[in-house]
Amino acid sequence: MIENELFKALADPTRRAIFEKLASGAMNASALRDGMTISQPAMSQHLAVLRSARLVREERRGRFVNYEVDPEGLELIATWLTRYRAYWPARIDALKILLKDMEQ
Amino acid sequence: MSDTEPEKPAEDLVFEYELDAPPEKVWRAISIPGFRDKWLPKEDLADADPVSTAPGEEIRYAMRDGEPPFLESVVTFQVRPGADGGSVLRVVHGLTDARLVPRKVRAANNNGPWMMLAA
Repeated sequence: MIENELFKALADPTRRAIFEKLASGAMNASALRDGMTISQPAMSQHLAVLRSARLVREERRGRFVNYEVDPEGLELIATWLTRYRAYWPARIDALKILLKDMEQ
Repeated sequence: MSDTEPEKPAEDLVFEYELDAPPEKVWRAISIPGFRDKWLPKEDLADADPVSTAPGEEIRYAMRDGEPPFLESVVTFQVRPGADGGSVLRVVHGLTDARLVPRKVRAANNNGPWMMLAA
């Protein structure tokens, strides 16, 4: 399940910080490490986890690799929206029934 | 009766419902737990107490998502007088989950955590 993987990927505060940095724009691994006390191998490992959860994807340009937020990871939000788009009309139907049963 | 979705910002669900009951009655149905539980199951709320209340007008609840990854969200109910003594109930349901916040914050302000990290 992509959802479970996503949950695990972002449960780690360092990965969450990396993801939040990338949310402001694509950058390479060394720019990502700026301001963070994290080794290069550790960064690679975190990026690998974020990639496998489809939160982040890499874009190769010649010798350089940029990382960016994977828009398809956003499917999660779409799933959430779909669920609640059906949820509220059903709840409001129940509210209407209650309003009929309530005294003024 | 028209149940419409008048506007839809990227990650908020917005519904408006015209109800036959007066605003005071709708307010009781959304704010008094004994009534609320009858149409909005309490297991769907993260907390039975509201996040905020503007009596008679607006009440907000934190929602509990029943499925992984259990995204956090807040629903806002706003009641106002409608036609013929009825009411209009506006439902705004938005994600507040910290795991998703970067995308929302990016549009709303520049105080995101990555700014602090970059400084």
